[in-house]
Amino acid sequence: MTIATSHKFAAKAMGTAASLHIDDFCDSVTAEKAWRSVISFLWNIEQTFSTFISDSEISKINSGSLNLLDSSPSVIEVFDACTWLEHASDGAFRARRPDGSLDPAGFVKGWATQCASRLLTESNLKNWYLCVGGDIQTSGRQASGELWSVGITDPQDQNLVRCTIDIPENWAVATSGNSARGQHIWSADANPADETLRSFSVIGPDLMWADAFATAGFAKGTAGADWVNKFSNYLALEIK
Amino acid sequence: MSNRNSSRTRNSKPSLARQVIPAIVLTSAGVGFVSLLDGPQNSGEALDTLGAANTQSDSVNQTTIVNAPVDSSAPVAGAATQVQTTLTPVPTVVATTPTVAGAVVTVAPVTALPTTALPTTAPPTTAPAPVDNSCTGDAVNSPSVNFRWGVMQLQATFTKSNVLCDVTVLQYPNDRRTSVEINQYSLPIYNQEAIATHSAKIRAVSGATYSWQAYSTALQAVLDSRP
Repeated sequence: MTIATSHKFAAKAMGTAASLHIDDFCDSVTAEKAWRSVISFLWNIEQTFSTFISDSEISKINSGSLNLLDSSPSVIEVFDACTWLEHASDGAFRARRPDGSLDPAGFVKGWATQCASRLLTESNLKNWYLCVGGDIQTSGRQASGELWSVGITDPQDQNLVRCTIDIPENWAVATSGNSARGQHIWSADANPADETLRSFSVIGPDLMWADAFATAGFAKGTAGADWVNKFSNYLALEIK
Repeated sequence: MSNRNSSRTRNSKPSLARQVIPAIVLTSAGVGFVSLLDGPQNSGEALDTLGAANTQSDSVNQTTIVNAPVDSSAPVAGAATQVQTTLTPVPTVVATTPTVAGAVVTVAPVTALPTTALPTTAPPTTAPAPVDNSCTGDAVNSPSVNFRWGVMQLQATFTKSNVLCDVTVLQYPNDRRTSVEINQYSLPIYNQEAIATHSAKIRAVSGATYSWQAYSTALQAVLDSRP
């Protein structure tokens, strides 16, 4: 019996790294083509949404040269979702900086990764995972037939794995914390920050929501896990 | 409580304490779940309590659990009591209501793992025992426990020096798609060789977002470069 080979790719995207592992039984040309479509999609999204790129749509909106309502459909879609999340999380999730300028970075990465993963499904690939900066959308299983096994890193030492989760087929996992890029999540006043909480992971069917719930759940502090668990099929995992 | 009785009857294999105690630990964790499920309005409080207990006495808990499964001649009931009071490090899966899929796992900090506990498990001759932290020792299954939302069974695995190193959910209720497996352990993984020998199972790493600069030294980069 032929064993499916693993095709692995990685590249810089969205200020972090994007990794794709394909465990399907497919030739390397097919895998390479799928990877190119994914990475070019991510670069495209970065051009539109990055606050570090001066002519991105978000930068233009923030500088006043573009009205939000005149922006592209993907920008409208993202801010629709962000607005819903702000309400659903009672303000713990925010797509605006304290000065009022738009910064949807907490949402775009997970959303873009899930959108990019649709390109893989459309390429008829069944068994793979796509990881962008530690947020992971999976499909199917490993070549061995096992579920994708994902290690959750220790918040205080990224080279330590604190536990592993076998991700149910086609599910996603995202983790929020303060460890890797400094304190970039702030808590809404109504929710006391959990001083002992180091990182907050969410697994569920869709990466865009797993990522958003992880961000909001972490910001919610002590109330975060209960809040996430209200959503059907989304599970919270805290590391203290 | 009948679950605990059934676990006590599992004495056909050698090393009675090792067989029975983890089963009791896991079962009583299950009983804890049930009580949480029975009082959903209190689940938040219960979680807080668990968290508080965790932060107060992590190292104590770790070492006590480590000591418990040793082949001592202590009566089973006494040992069981000891373990039950130090239950917190065992992964705790809590459903806030029976219809909502919810799991909260509070994992103890990386402290006091096997090496500090080894002296108590070493033979009385004080000969230094070789450290074997690989999670390849005995595996013990808990009895299947009936919850309101289905049947659940856990498995505990020990290192060769009898340290509890892995708790796995063997059986999840069928009506939840979540055949989630959560293994509680800490693995120092600093290089490719360590990953290959200790955690070949891990295929990806989730954590707080790292920068592109940090990626080159991140675990994910190692996994990406491994053939």
